[in-house]
Amino acid sequence: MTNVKPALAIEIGPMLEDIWTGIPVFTRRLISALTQDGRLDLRFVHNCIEIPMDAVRSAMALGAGSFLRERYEQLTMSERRILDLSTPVLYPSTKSNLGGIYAREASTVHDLSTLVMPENHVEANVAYHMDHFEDELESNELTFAISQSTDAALQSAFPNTAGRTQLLYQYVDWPDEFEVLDRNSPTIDIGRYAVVIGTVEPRKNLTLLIDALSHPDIAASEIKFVIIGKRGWLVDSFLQDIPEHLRGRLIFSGFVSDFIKYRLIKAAEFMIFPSMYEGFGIPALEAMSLGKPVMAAMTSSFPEVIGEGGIYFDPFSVTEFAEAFAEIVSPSRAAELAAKALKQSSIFNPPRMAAPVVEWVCSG
Amino acid sequence: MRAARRLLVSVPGRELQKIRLGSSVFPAEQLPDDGISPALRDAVRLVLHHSSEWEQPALLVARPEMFPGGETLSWLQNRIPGATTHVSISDGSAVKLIPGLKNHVFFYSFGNGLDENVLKTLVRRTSRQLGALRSQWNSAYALRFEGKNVSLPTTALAGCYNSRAPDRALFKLFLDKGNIPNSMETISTIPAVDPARLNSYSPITYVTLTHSLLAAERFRSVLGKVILEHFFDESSALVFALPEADFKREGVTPSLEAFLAAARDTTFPIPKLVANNIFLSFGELSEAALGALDVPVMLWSSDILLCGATHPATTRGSSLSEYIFAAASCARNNSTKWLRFC
Repeated sequence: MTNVKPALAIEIGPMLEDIWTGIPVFTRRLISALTQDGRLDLRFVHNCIEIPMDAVRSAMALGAGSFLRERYEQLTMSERRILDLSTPVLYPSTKSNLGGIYAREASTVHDLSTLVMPENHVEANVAYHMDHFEDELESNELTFAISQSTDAALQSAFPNTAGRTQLLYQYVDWPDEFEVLDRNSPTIDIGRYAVVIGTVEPRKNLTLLIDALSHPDIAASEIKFVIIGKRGWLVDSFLQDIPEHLRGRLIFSGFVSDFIKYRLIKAAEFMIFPSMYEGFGIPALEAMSLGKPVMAAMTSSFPEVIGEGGIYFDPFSVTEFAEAFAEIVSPSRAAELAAKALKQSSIFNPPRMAAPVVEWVCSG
Repeated sequence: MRAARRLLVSVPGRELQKIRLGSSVFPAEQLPDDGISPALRDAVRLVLHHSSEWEQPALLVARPEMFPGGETLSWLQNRIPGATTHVSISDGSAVKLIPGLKNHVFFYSFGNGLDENVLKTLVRRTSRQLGALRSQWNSAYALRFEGKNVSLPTTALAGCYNSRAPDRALFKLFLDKGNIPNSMETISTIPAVDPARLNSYSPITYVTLTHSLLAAERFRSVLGKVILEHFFDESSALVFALPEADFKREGVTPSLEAFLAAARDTTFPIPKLVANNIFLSFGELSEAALGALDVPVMLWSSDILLCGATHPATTRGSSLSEYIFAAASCARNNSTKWLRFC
C-alpha cells in the first residue's frame, strides 16, 4: 500500500515579481521549508491555474520572478489546468481576491501597518490591503500570522479571528556560497561601524539615529553607521540640522544585493533597528544569523524575534538610545550578546516554519 | 501601595509627524502645541481639563500600536502604573486600542465631510474593533455592524477647557456679505457689550464654535437660518463663542474671518445691519458669566446644529457640564447621528 501525501497548493502570486524582497522571499522560504519537510504533496497555483513545478523551482534557483511570470503568461490553453478546488490553498500574503474560492483556504498576515499607521501609506495601498480584509479573514479556515505581535494586533482589530490563527515563523537562509565569496573578497575598510536598517518610510524612524548623533556619548564614539536601503527624501532635510563632522558618520549604501548586504552585516559590529513598527523584522534575524547583536526599538515583534540577542530602547528616546549604544559597544557585552544572537537565530528554522502548515493541512 | 489612577491619551500618528518627542510615554500636557492642528490642541486641552477634574493625571502614549501584546505591552505597562483607561483621540483614520485597558474614542476633527467619510471607511473595514470600545467621547456615532446600527455609548465632556476663562466682552454682529474686511472693521468699531447685558434678552441661545464646524457645509446652512431668525426676534439673543485656540496665539482675526465667511456662504439673506441681539465672543464665556444670567440659556452644541435637531436643551443655573449632558440626552432621544460639543 502506498502512502498518499496530503496536497497543498501555494498561491505563488508574490513570486511573479521581478525582484524578490520581502514577501516573495518569504514565499520562497516557505516552499523550501515544506519541501524539506516532505510530508505534503506541494502544488503551485496562481489565479486558479496550476503552475508547473519546474517553473517554480527554476525561479527559486534564480531568486527572481521575471521568467516565472513569462512562463505563466505563455501557458497555452491546453497547458492551463484549473486547480482542483478541493485542494487546500495557502496564500503567503493577503489574498488578491475576496477568497472563498477553494474548499479550504488560509492566508498570511505580515503586519497591520496599513490599519494602525495609515498615515504612512498612500490611501490606495491602504484600500488594497484593508477594503476586503475582513472578507478575506472570514473566508479563511485558518489565518497565519508571522509573529505573536502581528497575531495580537490582528485579534485586537478583528476579534472574530480568535481561535482561528496560527503562528508562521520564517527563517534566514543565506546561500552557501556567500561565505566563501565573502572570504575571497577585499575587506570592507571603513573602520568600526554598525549597520542600520531603514530609511525609506517615516515608520523606520531613522530620525532617532540622526538626533542621537549629537548625543555626547555617540558623538565621541568612532562608530560609523552604514545605512542599508534607499536614501529617503526625509533624510536630506534632517541631515541639514546636524553638524558637518557628524554627517560624515552616516554612510548610505543605497539598495544593495543580498550578497552585499551579507558582507555589510558580516563586517559590522552590530545592527541598529530603530523602526517603530514591524510585522517580524527579518533584517534583525539576518544579523543574528551572522552573530551580530541587534540594538532595537522596543516595539511590536522585536522582543520575540530578537530575544536576548539584543538590547532595546524607547523608539522616541535619544537618551535610551545612547544608553543602549554604550552597552552594545562594550567588548565584553558585545561578545555575550553575539553568542546569544546566534543561538536565538537558530530557533527560527525551516522545520519550525513548515510544522504549522503541515498541521493545518493534515487537520482537514 | 496602589499607584494613583492615570488616564492614557493617544493621538493620531499624522499629528506627530512634525514634532520630536523625547519618549513614548510622557505627561500629556507636554505635547508641544507647535506642529499639531488647532483642533487637536483643543481636544487635548478638553481631555486634560477633565482628567484634572477626575484627578487622573493624563499620560500621552505616542503610538499605542507599538505595544500590541507580549513583552512590548509589559514594557508599556511598567511605564503607566495606575492606568486603567485609554482614550484614543482619533481623526477617524484609525482607532488605537491598548489591550487590558478600558478603551474609548474621541473623534476630534469632524465637521467636514471628508473626515466623516474617513471614519465611515474605517467602520466598514473594522467594525468589530470599534465594537470593543467602551464609549465615544462627545460624539454619538452609530456603528453599522452586521447589518444593524449599534450605538456605542456616549461620554459627554463639556467643552469647558476654558471654563476658568476671563469675563469677555461681546461684540455685535455686522455682516456685509460682499465685503468681509469691512464687516470686521465695523464689528471692531462698535462699542463692546458687557455679558451682564444679556439679562435683558430671553431666551439666550449660546453656540460654541470650532474651525472644523465653520468649515462644514451642513453647518453653514443652519448658521444662516439661526442668524436670520434672530434678526426678526429682538427679544431673544444669540451668542456665538468663536474658536479660542487661535485667539491666544494669533489675535482674533482668523476666528472672526472664518465665522463671517461661514455666515456669508449660507444661502440665507442676512441683512446688512448691525444686529443688536446677535453677539460674538472671542472664546467661550466663563461659567460664572453664564451662571449669573437670570434668563434661560439654551446651549446649542455644534452637532445638535449639524444634525438639525429641533429640541435643544433648555436649562439655567446649572453647570456647563449639566447643560451638555442634557443636550446629549436630548440629541440621543431624537436619534441623531452626530453629537459634538468640542
